[in-house]
Amino acid sequence: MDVLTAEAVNKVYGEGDAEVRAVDGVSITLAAGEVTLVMGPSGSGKTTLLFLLGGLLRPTAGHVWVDGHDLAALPERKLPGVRLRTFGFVFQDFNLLANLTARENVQVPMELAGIPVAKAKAKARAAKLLTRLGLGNRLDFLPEKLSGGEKQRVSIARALANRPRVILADEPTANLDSKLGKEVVGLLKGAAHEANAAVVMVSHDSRIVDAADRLLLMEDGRLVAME
Amino acid sequence: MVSIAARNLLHDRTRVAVSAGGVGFSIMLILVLAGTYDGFYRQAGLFTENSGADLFVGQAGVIDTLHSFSILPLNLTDDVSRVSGVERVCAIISRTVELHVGDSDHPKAILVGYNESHGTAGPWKILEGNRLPGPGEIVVDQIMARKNGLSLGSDVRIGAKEFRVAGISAETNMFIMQYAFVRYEEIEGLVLPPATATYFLVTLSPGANAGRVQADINERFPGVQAFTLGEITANNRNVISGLFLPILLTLYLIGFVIGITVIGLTVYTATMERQREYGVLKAIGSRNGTLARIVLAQALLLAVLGFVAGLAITAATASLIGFAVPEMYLYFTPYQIAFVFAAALGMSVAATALPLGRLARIDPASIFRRG
Repeated sequence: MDVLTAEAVNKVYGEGDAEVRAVDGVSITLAAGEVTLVMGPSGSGKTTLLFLLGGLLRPTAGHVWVDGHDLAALPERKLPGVRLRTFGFVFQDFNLLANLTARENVQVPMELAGIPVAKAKAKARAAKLLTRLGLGNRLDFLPEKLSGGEKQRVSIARALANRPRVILADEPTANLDSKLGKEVVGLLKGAAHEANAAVVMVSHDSRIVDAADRLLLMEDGRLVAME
Repeated sequence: MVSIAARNLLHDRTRVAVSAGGVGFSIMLILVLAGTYDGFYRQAGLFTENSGADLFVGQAGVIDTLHSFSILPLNLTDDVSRVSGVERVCAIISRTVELHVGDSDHPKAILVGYNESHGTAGPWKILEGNRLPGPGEIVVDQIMARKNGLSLGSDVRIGAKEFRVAGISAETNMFIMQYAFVRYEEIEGLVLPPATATYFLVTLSPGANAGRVQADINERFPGVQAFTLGEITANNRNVISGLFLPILLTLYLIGFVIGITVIGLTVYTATMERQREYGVLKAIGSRNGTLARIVLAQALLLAVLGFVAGLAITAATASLIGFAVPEMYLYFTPYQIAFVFAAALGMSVAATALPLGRLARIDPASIFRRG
């Protein structure tokens, strides 16, 4: 089942001689449970594409359809709500809130989404997600007490918190060693399959290619290959 | 909602202590200046307010008891007593004199000679000893007693006359001088010419109209001027207001601006240092309104912590001042404290305007880039 469709998406910065086509006519469809890896050299537009797919940037032209909404046409005030409920984000630098415990970091998106349940339920779901990712004994640890791999697993749990349709991960293994990187991507893939969410990973890390169901190569803002 | 604001603020105990301390010292600065202002203002009216009289009569042209010098012929007492509505007239002497304590100390005091049988113009709050000094006795203020080593039974000389301390009074401090009380007859002719008084304190008959009696006195005796208690108290306070309260008020306002600015800067810094985390929240879907609530909660929490710290610091400072400079009278009112609290909260909220504007403009995509 397709969960997101991008049609002829362009992102252009500047004008005239200074014009840069960061993303140029990209069309892509993401299916539930599928892991897509986007690779390409620096400046190829892969991170910009990630922003466009996640409603963090508006395309100059084209459409991004998700849940019946065209993100390109959605009013600005509605984008945060769509991001919160439809997408999960995994950051290169983890970006956990430093003063919240692992469990509280995972609770945050649920509470931001105003899940109409008792706080205890959000707490229980956060604990369940973290336990599923092997952090059952780290629930009340602050990020500073966690290793890089553990932080990224908390970040994955946070991304899964609101049962997103799409998980967008930007260089999720960049700050991890080879073994941890594979482990984290494996966990991300497993969790996404379990949650039936589409995953888009942007990475330079060729060691994680095996984890992807589909590989997209970008160059100069265009998709040059799909495998 | 996980209390992000509280966690952000309270996570680093040292930092929050420094921030709350900064706000607290600002609150202290504001409160001490306000307390000094109100203390001086209040003191200026304490004697007249507690005199027990209904009307104050002085020499014509004298409109206050602080820096104007009034002298009245004592035989006028009987004439004023005959005015309709007057129940009793009490002549008092009030002069600034030098007290001789031991061989070397010569503190200045506002000496009040009063007729104890009339019950007006005496000390209104006694800590030790007698409220009404007997012959050869004096009641001195507690601050004067402390500063000059006086206690019950100590000897004090005024001119050539010796007095024995029979009572220690409170609330009788007046800036750099203090009130002292003796019987009228003890100092008649000593600090004023014989058969003269400084003021007549008039007690009205039950049901008498104070304004009418005041008008009658002013009309019948051109050489005197009668004031209601409210008028003379207000006049005294106006003297203080006109003399040096503008200076104090200026200092108070400067302190207020500095204090409030420190609060604002502290809140601003605390908000901006978490800018990236607010960006993360925005990226994962937080609305600007939610961020604003977190930032506001953080600012208000800091203001409350700072205010509590400020009250504690103010209490400690007031004790220290009371010990080191007992004449400096700080007067705190619930209204004043509530006003400073509201100002601190208001400034904290205002201080979030700038960071909130910046948070609203954060590009959530920027969080994906290496921090």
